[in-house]
Amino acid sequence: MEQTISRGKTLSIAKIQVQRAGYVIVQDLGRTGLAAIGISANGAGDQSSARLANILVGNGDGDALIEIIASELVVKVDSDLLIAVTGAAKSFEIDSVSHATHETLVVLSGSTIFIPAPVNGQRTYLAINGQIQAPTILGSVGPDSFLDFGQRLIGGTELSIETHFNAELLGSDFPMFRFNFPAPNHPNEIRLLATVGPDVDRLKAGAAGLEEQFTVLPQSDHVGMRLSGVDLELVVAGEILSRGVPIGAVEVTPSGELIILLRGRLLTAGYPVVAVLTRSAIDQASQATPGTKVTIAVVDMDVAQRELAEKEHLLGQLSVRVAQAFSTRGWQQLLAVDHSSFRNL
Amino acid sequence: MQLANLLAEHLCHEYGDSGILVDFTNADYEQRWQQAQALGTALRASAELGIVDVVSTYQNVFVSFNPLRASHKSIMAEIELLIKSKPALRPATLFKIPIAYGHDYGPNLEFVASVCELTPTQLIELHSGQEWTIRFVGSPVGAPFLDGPKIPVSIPRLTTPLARMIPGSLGLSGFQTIIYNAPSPGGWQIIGRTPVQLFDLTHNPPVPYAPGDRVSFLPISEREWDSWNKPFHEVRL
Repeated sequence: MEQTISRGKTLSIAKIQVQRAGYVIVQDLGRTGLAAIGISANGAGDQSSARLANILVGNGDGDALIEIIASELVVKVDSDLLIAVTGAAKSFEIDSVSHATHETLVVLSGSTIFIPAPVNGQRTYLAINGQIQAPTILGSVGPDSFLDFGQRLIGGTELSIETHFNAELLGSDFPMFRFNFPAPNHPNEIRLLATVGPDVDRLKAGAAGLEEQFTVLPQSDHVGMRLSGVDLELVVAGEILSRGVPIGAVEVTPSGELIILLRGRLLTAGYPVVAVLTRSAIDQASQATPGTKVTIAVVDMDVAQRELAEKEHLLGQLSVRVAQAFSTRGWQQLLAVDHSSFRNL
Repeated sequence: MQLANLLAEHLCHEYGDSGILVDFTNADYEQRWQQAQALGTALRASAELGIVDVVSTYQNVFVSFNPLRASHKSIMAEIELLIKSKPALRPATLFKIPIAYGHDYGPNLEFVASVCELTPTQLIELHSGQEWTIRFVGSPVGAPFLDGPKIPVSIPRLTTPLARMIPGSLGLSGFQTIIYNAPSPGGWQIIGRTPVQLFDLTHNPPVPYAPGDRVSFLPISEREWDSWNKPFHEVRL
């Protein structure tokens, strides 16, 4: 009961002013379960980095946050905030002081946050404790170009965040967190794990044909990654009637090109699906910039599932550690009720 | 014969670390489609933990699931159970969708007619003279995928797909027809356009039709365009 009263007392609306922004959007994990009305998933390209950022600030892993794509962001904050930056950027600045990404940080009112364009990779996430106030469609703030929907941040945009964080929580010892969660690398040569697809037999060379080195083409976007390189030869076989295709589907076009479907993909397609990327490989692929060298390694399903279970275990462990650290400081009210909901997985 | 109907022939493929593709293999196209749609409906209504989404199409069902709550094995078991239960499709509704054929509305009408060795008027008569069946609703946003009338030849796709379809565009490809409800990229030949907004998020459900429903297309003139240019729930289809 007391907690309810204190939550009511401390809930406030913080504001951030965008001073400069490249391609920056309000994002979350997207829309799922809407195939019956033909709605694509969309949502953060690198889902684990987006979830990680939210977990680091005590939010639910599917809460709204800011996605910065292959560009920079400068914002001025007008309240004390608890933030985390994850994804491609290796470091960022608060009032010209450099900070490591992938940690929980306090930003004081009046400060300026500068998140530079990444050197490698292309998606950086900024999560802020609380709820970013943004319009939703079908339960998500995520942009969908087919629905002509989404909130892009530009210079002058003011964003409100409903948060329980405030100066009273800081006390005399300035909080420093060291969760030491490993920051991923985004090298310009990547190996994407996949499991075999239903039409692998249509590849003359079989799954081994995918071990060739391909290059990410500039025409790639959130709908699909186009790869150039070796032309893959297909066995002549009957037409494939359009059917549902998963995010991460590795498709071969009639001309022997490879396309990897990403989160903005149409729900159905009729090209052979020769492999399907694992969930973390989809995140990796969404970070790959044009010119990145790619090989696709087909592994057994149990290898893919073990990898997935390990990653989920690490994220789950982290959310427990964040909850413990916040509770130790008396910050229980900052924690989302269900901070490991995995609702959109 | 009866036995063959009771045992829906199908294959289940693993489709990534959190998906399954069911492929119906009955020799009869209509049967395969009915089985796929029936299974799709049953899976959407299923209480089986961990089902995230279901895409049912001409002869396939793609089920995606949360791998922390379900596995290929648990979902496949659920599929076997539901196939045995033989769920039924809902009764069909007939929609009349107005289309302005040709001209700026359907820039590829003449090409498609010539491929079919028909005049544009004959193609319009063929396209609008018989009922189509909505096989499934897909993307972009609530697009109806239809087939039915005997198109003389399989219609090739555009050699260069369009980056941005005009919403309402009526496409033809293979022996199928589709309406693009959103400004998405697309590769189908465009022969007409409907003035009716068939997808409206302010309405629940946001599209009027469902798989199995029937559609006949009503040719309209340019003059009639404005009187039809409304969301689907404000006109009588």
